[in-house]
Amino acid sequence: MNFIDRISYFLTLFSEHLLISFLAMLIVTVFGVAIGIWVFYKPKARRIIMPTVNFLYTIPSIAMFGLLIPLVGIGLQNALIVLVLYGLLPIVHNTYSGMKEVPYHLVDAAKGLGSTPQQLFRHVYFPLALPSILSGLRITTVMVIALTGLAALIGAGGLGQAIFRGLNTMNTPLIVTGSLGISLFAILGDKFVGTLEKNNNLQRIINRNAQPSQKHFIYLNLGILAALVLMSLVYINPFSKIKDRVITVASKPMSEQYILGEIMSQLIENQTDINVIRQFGIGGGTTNIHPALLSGDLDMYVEYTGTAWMNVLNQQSQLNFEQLQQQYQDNYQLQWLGLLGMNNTYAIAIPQSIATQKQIKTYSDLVRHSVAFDFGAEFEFFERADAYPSLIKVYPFNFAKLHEMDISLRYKAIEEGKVNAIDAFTTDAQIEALDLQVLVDDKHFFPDYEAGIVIREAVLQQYPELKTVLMQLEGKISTESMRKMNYQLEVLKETPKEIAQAFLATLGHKDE
Amino acid sequence: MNNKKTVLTVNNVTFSYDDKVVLKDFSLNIDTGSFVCLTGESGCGKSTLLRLMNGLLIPQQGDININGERLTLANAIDKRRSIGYILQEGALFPHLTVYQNMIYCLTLLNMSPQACQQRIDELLPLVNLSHDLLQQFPDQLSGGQRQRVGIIRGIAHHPAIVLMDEPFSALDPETRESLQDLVKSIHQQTDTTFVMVTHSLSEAEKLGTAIVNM
Repeated sequence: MNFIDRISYFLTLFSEHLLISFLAMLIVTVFGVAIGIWVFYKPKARRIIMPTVNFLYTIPSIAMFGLLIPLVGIGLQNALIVLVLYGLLPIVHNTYSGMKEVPYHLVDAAKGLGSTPQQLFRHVYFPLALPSILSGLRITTVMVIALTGLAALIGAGGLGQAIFRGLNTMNTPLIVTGSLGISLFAILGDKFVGTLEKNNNLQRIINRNAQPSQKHFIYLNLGILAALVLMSLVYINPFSKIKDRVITVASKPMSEQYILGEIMSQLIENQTDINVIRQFGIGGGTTNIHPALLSGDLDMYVEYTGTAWMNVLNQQSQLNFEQLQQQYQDNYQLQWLGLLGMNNTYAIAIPQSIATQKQIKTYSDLVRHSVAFDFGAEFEFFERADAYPSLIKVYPFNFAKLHEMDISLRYKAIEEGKVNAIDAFTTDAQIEALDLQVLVDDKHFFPDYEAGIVIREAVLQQYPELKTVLMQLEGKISTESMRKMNYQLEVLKETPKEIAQAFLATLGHKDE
Repeated sequence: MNNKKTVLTVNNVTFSYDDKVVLKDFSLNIDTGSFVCLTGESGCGKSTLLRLMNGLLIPQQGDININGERLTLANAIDKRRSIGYILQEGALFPHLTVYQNMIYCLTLLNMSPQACQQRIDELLPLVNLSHDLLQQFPDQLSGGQRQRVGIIRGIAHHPAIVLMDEPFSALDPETRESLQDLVKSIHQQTDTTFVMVTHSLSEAEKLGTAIVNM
């Protein structure tokens, strides 16, 4: 990624992060303070509201994002609801306890001097509860800014996107920059609320007894915040997204999906006048993307046939592709636009050198030589009935030794020579990086996970030209070329944008 | 006593907190311009009586009348605006300046800033406070200064009656003495009725025109 690209990528994420957390803070402050005041005056409401607010806080935030998807879909709305519900606790509690702890003799004095209940609230309860409210606000601010980092999982954007993209594509600098950005942001947010709290600045301003220097200090801080919010608004201009001709391309949180999403997006941008919104790295993958397609939040993504049969249609056995297309159309009004050519399924890989030397090409070849191999795989592979236990019934492997290890350690183990055969996914970048040979599943044991474009029928009706444009990709991305592109992303640290550009150039579709 | 008008009457009042009876069938007439001191053991109901007089508490039986009008929950806030209230150590609002505390009752009555300023200028010499203190906050004052501010707050709106709940109890003897003199002189210069709760009989004897031992 060149410097300008990188800067503009992070500026976008920062702007999104600022706007999401600012909006959430605005809502949570208004609601939190209002609820806190309400429960102070209404003991009956308090008995229901306080446990509810406590309960909301105990729901793991990731689960809450997921639980809301069937109700409000993915994106900003979902993120805001979670942030607000989650941020309520400190503000509601501190508002309530701040009011409760106003000294009785002051309430007595104000009442005795003739204050109405409204005046009592305005002159005594609220200003005296303010320090407590502000310290609650401080906690909520830090929490909301940090939690906004997770909003990227449901496609709401923000600095979390950099972290998740980094995690999914093995890009450590992205993870570090995203994390540091969020920390810095949280510290600044905390400092900002701190300025309202310090020297009772806000309390003094509300009571009209602030020193001019206090006023100037607070107005300066508010001005900086307002300017940042305004600049972010102008920079990402969320209103411009409400265009007539627009399509939302989604991807799962894995390397090849970022690349494929980018290839589809650029192809559409290059050859049509449709505007593309990229919603890449949606947390939970199919589980969250498929419902979002049905609700119309997302328009298209790349799915795998095996996942479609098993996880979407809930069928154990796979029928042919035409039947898959038919069922998608009948059940979901979604279309499969052909298959890309690649098959990202389970595989067994061995070092290229051994494969050449012993002339091992297929699983059946490996059976004959299996006593010379130490096989390493993740715990799940040995455990699942449809994996190793079934595999050895079809291919009677007799490995010298079996090594159970964490999924992330398999490639490390084969690199260091601790094992010399592992299970793999066919498009893994490390196969390329470590010069491994993927063996051919000659008896076709593993199900197919062929990649294809799934798109909403309504979108195709709206933009009929899309079909021809996207069908150009049919059969053009082989398992090997996908593996190479994953290698470019994960090992050579090229960006999905660059990789997609290069790929489309070979297809003959240069940027205009 | 001369044939003075009665400003406040307590008629056969009974008041209890939950099951504990604090006042039973209690009656009292207070004349305009008098200085009534309520004394007695702690728990005898003297503070309760004071809070009944400005409607912070409403009696279970009997009634309180101010200028012939019965004090009820509905008119209590209205009535309180013609009553001053001075508490122990002033009970000043810590988030308001000295000046804002002084004009608290005037702002409740929506008086103009000029009128407020004028009234405070009038009162400051009376309590021996300098102008410099006006923009300070209560925690920057001494105990005696705080109570002087509390006194101004209690009388600024020209109340007909001023209720005081142990106003000098937390002060050192010297300050207490000077404040007693101050209140006495204010009482003598105005026609305001004072009702003060105190546990000190000597204070009651010094200030009171009538002492009610409860």
